[in-house]
Amino acid sequence: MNGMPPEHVINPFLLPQCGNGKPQLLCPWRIPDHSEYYAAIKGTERPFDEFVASVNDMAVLSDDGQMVLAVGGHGCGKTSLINRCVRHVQLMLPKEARALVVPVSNPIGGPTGLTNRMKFVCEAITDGLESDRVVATPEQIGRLNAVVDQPDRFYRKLGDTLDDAIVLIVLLPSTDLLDEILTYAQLVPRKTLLLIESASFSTKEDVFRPAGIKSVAAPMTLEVERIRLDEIRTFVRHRLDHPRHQGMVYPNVSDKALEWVRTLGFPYTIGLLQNVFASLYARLLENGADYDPSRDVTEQEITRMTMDILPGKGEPLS
Amino acid sequence: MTRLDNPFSPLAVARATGFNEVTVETDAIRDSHAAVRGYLETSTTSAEGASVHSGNVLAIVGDHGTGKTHLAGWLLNHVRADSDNAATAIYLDSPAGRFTDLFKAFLDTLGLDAVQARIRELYADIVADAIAKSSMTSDVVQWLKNGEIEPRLVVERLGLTESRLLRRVEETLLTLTGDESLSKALVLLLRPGFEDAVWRWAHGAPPEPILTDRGVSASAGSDRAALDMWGAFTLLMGGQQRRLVIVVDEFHEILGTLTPADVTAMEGFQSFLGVFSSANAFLVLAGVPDMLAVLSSGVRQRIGRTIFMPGLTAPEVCKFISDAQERQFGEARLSPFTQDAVAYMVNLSGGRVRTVIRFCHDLFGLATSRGVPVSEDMVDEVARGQLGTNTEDDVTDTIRKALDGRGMHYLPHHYAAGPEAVVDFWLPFGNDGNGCAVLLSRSLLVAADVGQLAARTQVISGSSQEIEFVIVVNGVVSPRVELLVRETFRTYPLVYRPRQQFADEFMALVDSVTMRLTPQSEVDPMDAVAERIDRLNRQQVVILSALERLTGQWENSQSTADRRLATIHRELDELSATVKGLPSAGSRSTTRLSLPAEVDRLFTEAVSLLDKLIELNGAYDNVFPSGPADARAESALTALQDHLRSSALIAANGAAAALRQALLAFQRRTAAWYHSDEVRTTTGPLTDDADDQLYSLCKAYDATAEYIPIDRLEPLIRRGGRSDLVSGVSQSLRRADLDGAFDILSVRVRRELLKHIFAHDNR
Repeated sequence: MNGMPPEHVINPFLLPQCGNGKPQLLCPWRIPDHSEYYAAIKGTERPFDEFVASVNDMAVLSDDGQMVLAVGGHGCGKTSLINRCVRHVQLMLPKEARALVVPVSNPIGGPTGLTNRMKFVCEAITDGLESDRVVATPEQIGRLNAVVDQPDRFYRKLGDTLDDAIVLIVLLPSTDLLDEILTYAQLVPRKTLLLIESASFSTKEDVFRPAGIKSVAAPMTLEVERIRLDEIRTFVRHRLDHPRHQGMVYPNVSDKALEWVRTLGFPYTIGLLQNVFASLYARLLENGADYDPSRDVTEQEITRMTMDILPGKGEPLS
Repeated sequence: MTRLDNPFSPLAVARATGFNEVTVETDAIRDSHAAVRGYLETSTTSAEGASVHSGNVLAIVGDHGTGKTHLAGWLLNHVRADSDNAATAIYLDSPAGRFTDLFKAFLDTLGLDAVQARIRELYADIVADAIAKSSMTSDVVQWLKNGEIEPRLVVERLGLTESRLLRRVEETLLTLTGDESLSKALVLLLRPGFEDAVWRWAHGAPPEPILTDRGVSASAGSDRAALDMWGAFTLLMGGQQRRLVIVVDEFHEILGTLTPADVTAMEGFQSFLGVFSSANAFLVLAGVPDMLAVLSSGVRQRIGRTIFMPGLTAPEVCKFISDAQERQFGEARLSPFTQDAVAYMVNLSGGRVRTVIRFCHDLFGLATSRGVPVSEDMVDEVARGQLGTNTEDDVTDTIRKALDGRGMHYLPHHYAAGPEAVVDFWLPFGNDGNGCAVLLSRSLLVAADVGQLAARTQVISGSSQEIEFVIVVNGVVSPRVELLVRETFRTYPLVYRPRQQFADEFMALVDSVTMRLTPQSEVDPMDAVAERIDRLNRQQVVILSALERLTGQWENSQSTADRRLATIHRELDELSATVKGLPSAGSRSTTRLSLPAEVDRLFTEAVSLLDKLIELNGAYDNVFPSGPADARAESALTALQDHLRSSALIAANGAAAALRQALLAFQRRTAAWYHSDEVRTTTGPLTDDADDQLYSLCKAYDATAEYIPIDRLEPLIRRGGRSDLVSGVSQSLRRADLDGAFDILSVRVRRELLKHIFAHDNR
């Protein structure tokens, strides 16, 4: 590869500390460098701005707590948005305060009933508090543990337990259940930010209109929209032209090819795009010989990789 | 010649699955095939594009062994071979259970994979419609239509709004099936992790939380709900361009568990049948003729066509023999059978397929081993072993139920004139020893059979003034002796068939004989009225017992109740015996050996009934005063003296006490047998010696009890002598209870013991 040192030969679509095989998800609250990788895509920028506008002061959380629901189809960027929101809260807090982030994945072993799911989350929160060792005393943890199967009492006690200098951020397991969303919206205690996502719904209307839910009972809902065709170029260019990639070696994607992809009208999501290009560059890198900036990725290669990934032949989607 | 060379099956039991049997095209087969072919070949849309419903329900009706299962297998083969229509063919062998069980069998045969594939198909159509049209997406759409890609994957990768798409699938399912809960549940099959919960729920389990969270409520736990859900599944799996054929074999097994109280189940079944037209699906119900009688008229009206399975004709049997030999030996031939022998065999067997094949098997073996053609005598020889294979218990049970149902008074296994003249059922008329003798006979094939039966009737006739005979043949009456039979017996024998129709025919025969025995002019009007009231009372008892049984079934706790009842009886018996100073069924001078609960119940019930009757039990204790002026003792003394004045009552008490002793001795000896080394250590079937020993014990009890007939207890039964209705009913109740408890007691004890040992051979 033109005699360049191997460390200069990179896959520009791999995110820092998210190597091959790891989920290609932006998570700036865990990996701060990821903050630079959010491309200016309206579908995700707009809801983020909405969140920043609403949660702009610690007092917002200290007084009432906040529940945020991110909706949108698979691969539209809900998880990345939520992670960005968490990072925003971390940065927003005054020096004397800090955020404790408790990510809760879906219970292992397949779907389970709502009651069990909520208990599982309560247990994960107490585990998170316990592991921090500063936020709560063992006695307080013990009192919370005693009511993990009574969510209403649990969250009431949780609000009382947390120190004023702490904001607890809980990343709830994704859900398709409106009941679950509404229950959390009612239970969220002060000094707490609950974030949940759902791929079952695309808009507030999808979520709340069928059930006739009034807006007062609904949580803050961030609608993540799919990337527009004319933003495909923005996304790809953002990755290829990233300042961190200066001096690195990798093939280019011509504007002509990107225009061709735009005119195809294929309904890419940002997740699918990320996946297609990360996989395509990985494949090119494997094949080796002409992996350098003089080579342009062709529209046929993009199309083939897309059609390989769709039925599951390519790399798994995150 | 080896057994394997015999081209005829020794069992002649058809299997619908893996069907590979020689088939002779009878009218029934041709008609059934035409019906199914009509269904498969009718286009589901007319030339104008309108939907055409060619779905139907076909009933195949015939006695056991008439070839219903064979026909079902044959039809299924044809449906599966019909490559033009890619029909789904499902065969269900009805379990001896309820509609819920049959529906579960349907689901298990259909399989979760097939249901998921169908839902995915619907989802794929909806997802394909939702994808924006472009040159690249047209490939994806094609993949979806061909089933080459999971619609869920497309939704995920293209970021489509899952909830909207799933809602459209749910709406489609609701339109198709009309079942809201089912539609919600089936949609969940499109998401990983829900399959097991949905499948368990479809099988009748209550919905698990992950289902109730998503609006799934009612389950198929009842017959009605199961049938409704089955209908919904039929609409799902049938309909549109799809073909679905369901064959339910032995359908009477399901109907046999229905009671008149199951009105909702029958209504549900009626609606279920209605589904087949709109689902454009085809249902075949195969069962014995009685099944039609059990079905409501509404259900019968929804059966589009009923095909009866007649016996095979002689030419059809000849064709069958020829085809079977061609398959086995490569050469179509009738030999060693002859046309005459086949005609005679068909005559004897009534052309019943299973019997014919078994005959063919045995006759082929005989003829080849002897090197001679099949003769009519050989057919007789084989018929002796083959026909009349219904157990004697089946026949006696059917007769007993028929007589009980009519409230007839009868004595089972009655010694009319010594051991040579046993009457299987004796129906006394009046007090002069007149009556109707019901005799069971094996097949009447040759003159000697008729002679033996005639001799038996003569011995019995010699013992009484006027006796009429009803002869029930468990087997066949050969055409060769038909004339002789007509000349010998005043009433032509009735051939037993395990169907309701037999009971009706039997009672009609008994009625006609009754008319001959009791000309109205000679009957005391008061006796006739008393007999009539008594009979009504007995019928009432039968009805009450039936209601009790139904209640028990409904609560699904009959066996538990019986066990508890047996325990209560035993405890009462012990208490009662302690009070009365008698040895009880439960107390022994030595350690009591236990019997299985079902057997113990037979003894304790009988002993308890006798205890209720024996009026002298404990009476002596009460007559001794506990003080100078003990009014209660005085009153007891007066009552006892009254009692002792009646020699009839003393004799009846004595008879009851004797019977009680016989019972207790029988119980002790049976228990000793049950705990004997030979029985206790047996891990397989009982040895012949052990079985013989039990049989001897039963016979010994019979020989004793025969001399203490229940009739001798009559004064105790009629104690009080009042003629009001209440007293009459209670007398009949007691009489019926006694008859029920002592009727073929030894047979029932033996049967229950053997059943228990068979079921628990690892005791």
